[in-house]
Amino acid sequence: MKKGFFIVMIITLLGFICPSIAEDKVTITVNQFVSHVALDAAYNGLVKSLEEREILPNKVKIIMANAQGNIGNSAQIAKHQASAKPEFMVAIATPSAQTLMKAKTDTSTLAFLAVSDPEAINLTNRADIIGVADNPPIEELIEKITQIFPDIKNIGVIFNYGEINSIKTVERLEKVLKDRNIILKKIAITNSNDIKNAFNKLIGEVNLIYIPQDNTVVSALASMVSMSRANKIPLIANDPTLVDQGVMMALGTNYFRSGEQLGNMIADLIEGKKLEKNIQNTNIKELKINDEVVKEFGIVIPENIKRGEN
Amino acid sequence: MNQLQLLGAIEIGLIYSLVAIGVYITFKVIDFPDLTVDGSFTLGAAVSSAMIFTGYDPYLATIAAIFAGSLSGMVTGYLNVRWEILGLLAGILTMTALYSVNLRIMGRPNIAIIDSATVFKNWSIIITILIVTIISIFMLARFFASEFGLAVRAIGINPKVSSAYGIKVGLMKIVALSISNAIVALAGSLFAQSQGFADISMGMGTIIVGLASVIIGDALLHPERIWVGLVTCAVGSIIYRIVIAFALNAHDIGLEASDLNLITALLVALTMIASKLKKKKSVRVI
Amino acid sequence: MIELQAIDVVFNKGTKIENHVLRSINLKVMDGQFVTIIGGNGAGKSTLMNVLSGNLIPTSGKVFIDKLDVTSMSVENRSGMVSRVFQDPMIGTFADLTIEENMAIAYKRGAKRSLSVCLNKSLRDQFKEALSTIDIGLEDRLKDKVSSLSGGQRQALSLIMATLLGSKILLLDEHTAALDPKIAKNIMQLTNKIIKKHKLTALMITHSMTQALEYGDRTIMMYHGELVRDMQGSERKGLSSADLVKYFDL
Repeated sequence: MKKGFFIVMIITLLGFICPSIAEDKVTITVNQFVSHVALDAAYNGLVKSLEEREILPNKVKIIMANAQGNIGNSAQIAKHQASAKPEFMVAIATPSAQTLMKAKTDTSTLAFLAVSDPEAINLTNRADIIGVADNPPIEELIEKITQIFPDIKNIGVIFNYGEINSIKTVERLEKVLKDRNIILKKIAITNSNDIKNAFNKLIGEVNLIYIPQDNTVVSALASMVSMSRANKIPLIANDPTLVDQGVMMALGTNYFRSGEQLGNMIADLIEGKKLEKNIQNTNIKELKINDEVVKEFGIVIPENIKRGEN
Repeated sequence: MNQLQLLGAIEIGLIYSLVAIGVYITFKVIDFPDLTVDGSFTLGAAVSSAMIFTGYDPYLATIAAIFAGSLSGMVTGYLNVRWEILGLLAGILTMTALYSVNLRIMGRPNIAIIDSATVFKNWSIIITILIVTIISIFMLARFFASEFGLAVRAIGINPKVSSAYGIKVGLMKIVALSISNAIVALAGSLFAQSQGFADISMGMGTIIVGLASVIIGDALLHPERIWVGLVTCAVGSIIYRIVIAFALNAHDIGLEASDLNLITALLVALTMIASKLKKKKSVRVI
Repeated sequence: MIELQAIDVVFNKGTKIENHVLRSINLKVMDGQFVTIIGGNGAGKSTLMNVLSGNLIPTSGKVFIDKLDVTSMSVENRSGMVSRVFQDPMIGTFADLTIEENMAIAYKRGAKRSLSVCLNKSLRDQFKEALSTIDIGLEDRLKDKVSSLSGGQRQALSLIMATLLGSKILLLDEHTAALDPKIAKNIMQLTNKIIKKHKLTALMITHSMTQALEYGDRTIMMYHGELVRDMQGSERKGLSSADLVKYFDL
């Protein structure tokens, strides 16, 4: 027991003795909540834009940490990163934004990505908070869908009712569809194991399934795609990065582009320029179609949509 | 590592030391693998944040969280004692049900209380949590030193002989589960108040952190008496966080510290191995 | 006074593996009697003991302790009246607790446990006194864990624990069977001493014919769930262990 105490004391003392190395570059810390395709793309976009603006690695240093889905880790990472008072603290996903908000000092600027309702978590109207909010162009996507499938009556959606982003998205989707007399069949799940059952409930009931930007659903995308192919029910989404994985068509914000957009905002601030708005919606919209899936399902895409026109 | 990072690690470590203590009471004292904690941690956060958001006094909200946590422990106990559902399963059932219950309590998946008054309004977070942890350990140590507390310990060691000495095994189990989850809910409540929000998924991985802390503490300090065992949980939890803090600084020496889960697994395995090696050594001496 | 009326115990009733373990047992034990119980494997001795302790509820029949019907009373509720020493010394005590903690648990048998501290100087003195009667030094090792004790020491502790408070019945289930012969003899002598000193009503299962006759004042024999012989007084005095063995050849 005495030996154990000795070890404990040594570890604690080391904590005080080993200092962090001082930096003369601008520090950007990144606190990502969990790893999956979309969030990773956001980070990559951020890094790419900073490199393109020639700020990284000359003027800026990035320190990245991933909480791996654990809130205790996210909180510790936030405090840990905040202690060095970095100029910019990037949060990727809502829980990270919240832990960072609490941990950061006034001198750091919080920059968020992959948060769809910044107002709900008090991120708006603050001089020290900037970010790119998710604002999936649901209306435009549905507009194009109704051109491809003029007789469509039922669309299904699977979402985790524990993700606040998803709840908001589904609310908007339901309203948009109601205006066009299309019924939205909603299946709520709590974790990715429920996806198969949820999908089964939609077979025979819907013509199309919408995939929201939902961490749980996106992490089980492969499963959804294989069931989509087996039952000939096409998948649509607002995130174009999902199209390569088997989603038939997507129109909208791309987390990679959001990351680039935020990177540019940060670069602007470093270069002394002022931002028009602290919180911006994703400004680049992209329409992506998976030709293989279209062919397999025998869908006819009208020429004007193929050409990217309205 | 600078002082702030160390303090940050200690702060989170102290909050989760309550989780470790809760896990210790079920896993170690009554030998019951209780998985309710992923749910009761969030339950504590949900109850407190919902009440604080509505304008209730934060101290009241914290007590309500403790109470709610104890109820969840009773449910697991009832399923196991009355209906003879396997302990592991009973805990999973309660935890699963709590997901929906918590969502109902919060009304939505995430509540932000960052601008509301919490129990941390008067003193610093670390001092407050330290006081709470110390008081909790004191109260539990006193409880286990009582006739009733000794009976609770007895059922985890020898249920058959416990019955023969008049101890109601089922009742003691429920009491232990109730106390354990009450403490975990307290941890959840304090976490939510210290971070300024509660999220429906915040309980994920709680049991793993709790178990890791208990194992690390036990392997390092080998507690003989129960009150020492409780303190050991806190030590284990803090050490765990300090190791993570070191890992987060690994970039300073050129390493990529992105895999915190791997570090958790390694740390637990290493401490257990070190502990085994120590035991082997003492046997060889004889 | 213990009374068993027409006790029947049937396992798996109505199925192919129906087992009639106790058949219509009638038994009266007066206060202060020390009864030894013998019988072959499967005769029903342990089942009988379990019916008395509450570990088993009989299929039919009644159990009375001092005129109180305890037939379906749980083990915990009966513990104030019944104390027991188990056969396996390794599981008859709380191995991970200290000797004084074990004694503290025994001290509250049959009573309500409160939140008062379970150990204090006066209790420790009491425990020391009780432990010193067996004279193996346990009274100086109150803070040692029971896991550090040998089998014989643990069984001695079990005995003291079971008899720390007065009980109406003391059940001994082959409690010396797992011990070395010398230690077994010591424990048996100790048992006898305690029973005589406190004038306990005791029932002891044993496989040793010598033990069955040397100790106690009554011997009953069981065979296939029935009580086939009941020997006391002069009838029993004249018997030798060889005689008992003969009775097994039915």
